[in-house]
Amino acid sequence: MSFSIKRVRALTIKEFKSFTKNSNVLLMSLLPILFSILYTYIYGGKAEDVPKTDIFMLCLNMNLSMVASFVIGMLIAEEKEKNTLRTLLLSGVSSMEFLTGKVTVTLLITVITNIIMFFITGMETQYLGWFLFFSLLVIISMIIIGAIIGMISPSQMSTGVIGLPVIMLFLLIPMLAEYNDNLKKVAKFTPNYNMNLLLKQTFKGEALSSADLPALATIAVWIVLTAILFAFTYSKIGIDK
Amino acid sequence: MLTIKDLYKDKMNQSLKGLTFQAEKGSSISLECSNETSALLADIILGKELPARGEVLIDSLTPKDYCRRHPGTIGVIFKEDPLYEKMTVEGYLSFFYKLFNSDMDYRDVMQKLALLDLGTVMIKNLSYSQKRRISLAREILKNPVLFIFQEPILNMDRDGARLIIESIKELCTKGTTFLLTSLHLKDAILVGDKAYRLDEDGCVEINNNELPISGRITADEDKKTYTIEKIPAKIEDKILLFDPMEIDYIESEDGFSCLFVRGEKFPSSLSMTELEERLKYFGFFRSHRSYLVNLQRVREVITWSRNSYSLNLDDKPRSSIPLSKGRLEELKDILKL
Amino acid sequence: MSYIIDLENVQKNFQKKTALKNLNAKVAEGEIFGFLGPSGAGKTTTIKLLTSQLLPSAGSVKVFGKEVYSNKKSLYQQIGVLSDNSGLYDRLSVWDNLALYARLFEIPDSRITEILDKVGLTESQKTEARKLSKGMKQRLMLARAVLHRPRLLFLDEPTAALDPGTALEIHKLLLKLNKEGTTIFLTTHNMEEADKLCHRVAFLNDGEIVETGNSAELKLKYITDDITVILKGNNEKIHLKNSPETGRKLMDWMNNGSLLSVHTMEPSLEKIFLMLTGREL
Repeated sequence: MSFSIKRVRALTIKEFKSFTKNSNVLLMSLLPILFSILYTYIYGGKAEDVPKTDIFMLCLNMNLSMVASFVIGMLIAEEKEKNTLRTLLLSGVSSMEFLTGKVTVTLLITVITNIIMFFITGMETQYLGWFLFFSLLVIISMIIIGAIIGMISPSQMSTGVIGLPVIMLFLLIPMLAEYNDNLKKVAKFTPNYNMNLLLKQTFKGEALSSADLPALATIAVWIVLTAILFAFTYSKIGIDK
Repeated sequence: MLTIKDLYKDKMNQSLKGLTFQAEKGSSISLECSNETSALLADIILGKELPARGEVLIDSLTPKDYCRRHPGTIGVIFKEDPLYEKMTVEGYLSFFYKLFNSDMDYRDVMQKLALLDLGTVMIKNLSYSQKRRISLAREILKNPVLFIFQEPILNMDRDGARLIIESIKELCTKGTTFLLTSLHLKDAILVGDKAYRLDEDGCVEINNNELPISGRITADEDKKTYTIEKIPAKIEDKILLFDPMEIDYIESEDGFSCLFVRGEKFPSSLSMTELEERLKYFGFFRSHRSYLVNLQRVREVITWSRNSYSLNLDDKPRSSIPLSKGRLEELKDILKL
Repeated sequence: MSYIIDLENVQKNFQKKTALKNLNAKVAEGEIFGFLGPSGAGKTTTIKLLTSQLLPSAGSVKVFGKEVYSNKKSLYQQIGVLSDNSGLYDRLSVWDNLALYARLFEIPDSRITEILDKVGLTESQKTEARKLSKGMKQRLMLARAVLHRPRLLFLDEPTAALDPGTALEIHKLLLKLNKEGTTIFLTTHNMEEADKLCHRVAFLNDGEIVETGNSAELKLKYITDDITVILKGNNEKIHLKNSPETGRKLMDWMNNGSLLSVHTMEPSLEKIFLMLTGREL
């Protein structure tokens, strides 16, 4: 299949222009930032009650599970619904180029949002590097899942329906894991929960040890699993209707 | 290209007795014989069996030498040709395309055999006719110099049969030599330039030559007597009498005739000439040296190429009966076309 | 002679039906060729085959002398396609919509300005696509389809949902494009449009072509025996069948000097289609 950086660049530029005018998607992307501002304001002064780490982690997970996976799903489904995808294909754009454009936009938005929230909640700059590394590993899986949702959904509406269990699994379960042992057991299998563990340690200034290997391994396995699922869906359905 | 001289071979119940013929490059030879016999012949040509007596030469080399020097240049399709049922059509052909390191675009082959839009369909979901075309497509990718094809059009639908015959002809013009075999006389006559019959007594060329036309169907004004005419056939120790209109067509070989009635075969002791005479006023037409056809059953006249034609009947098995070139004009006169 | 489009014995089957049966048609470069037929006849299927969105079940579909499946990338560089509701990004401006495609085809911005001028959207270039009128949207889509100067343009019912005035604008644009050398293949069920625009037409009914030719030839071929007579005085048009009786009437009128004019009636394409298929468009 052909792949041209120039064309991906053209598509990415179009994505950004259209993103700023897409109220649905824009709102979803801003939500985590808004929450981070809100919570910091409410709880910011009394650091002992609700540590800023917790606020940040909450908003981070919101961003990853809602934005990273949903947004790309919606963007793909929208183009299918409005037949603009077909016009792109008839102009020689390949499926890979099309997907790369969507992935690039989603990735940039997610990471930029993360960085903004990082500073809003007052996290320490020295941990930025490790944070970006761990979060990126999980973002990859989330975006792949979003791409799969986009391929399966015939319309933007159905991305919501299909995506709901995704949110449940990746956002709510790790969030509520602290309060329920059963949920905790399930949460241990998600990449988000494991990322949370690793990050909590990092923010305390602790280095990685061999005890952290299982967590890292789970995150890595998720990347592989989602990649396989993506390849399978792509070969069966592809981005054509 | 392929020379067979006095070939004798016995294996299990099959035997080849004194088989002799020659096939030039780009020609097609049909053999009327059983599938087991043709399989035996194929094995000899492919160098897997040795002749008991006689000679088989491919491009002046023995089969074993030829296959060693030019591996993968002989195409073979047996009557049963198993495919990878779980693969898609495109998957299957692109696999062989890579395997043969073929210089052809497999999509072009698919297009010629009307398989182009079936690329993503799994082979197990295809009809017999489509599967047969896939087998042909696969062998074409080899760009074969010699091609052995058992039962090329058996059980094929009209369009499928036409596609296969057209492909065979195209490959012949490009230089492939074909050895086509069939159990059925009419298939053998239809697809090859030359046809031979193989049986327990040996190998005989099937004569496609024109019969002398003089004195054939003349307008006999005075002979309009309507006699009750019944055509006899023998089954075991019974004699069956058929009304002429029940008969779809009559096939004859070596002086033995067979009546084809509602898809079934009945041997008759009458010779072709006698039958032709008796059925003259019942609308039967001698389309070929070996065939007498009931014109009422004819649905279509098909042109396969400049020299081969056939009549498609609407009988139960939808038979295709060979029509000699010389007979075409006569037929047109009779049908007032 | 090589044709820019060559359909040979094309057949297309779907699960339940045969959409196209044994289609044969050739289009020469520089022509405006129309595929006429009622809905369901197979027009959209034909366009999809020609633009390689579908593969034929049998037969050969050649554009620029090569099978359409053989090199899609080079095919798409040289063709433009306009189908119904085909892809405008509503939230982007006219300019941005074209800019995307300009960048995809590596065409300079000057071309965008040029094409906007040509289709008359220069003043609306900053308007969001969703705020455009139907006619303007169609013009924008046409602009997008010809941005990369394709040799061949495919239009599927280009003026189907437009009012006559807007349709006229589109027609003018198409004629202009054709004058500049673009070959146009369009489908329509509007006879007048076909008559006005097309050099040659093919009538499609139930997946088969029932007649091909240029409008003038077809009308001449299917000329009926109707004649129209106008008498002096009331200027009324009288339709008569050409027959001995009519001949006598004409003689009478001529003799008493009341005959103004006699015309043979050319059948309209619509009527020809009705004659051939028993169906209306």
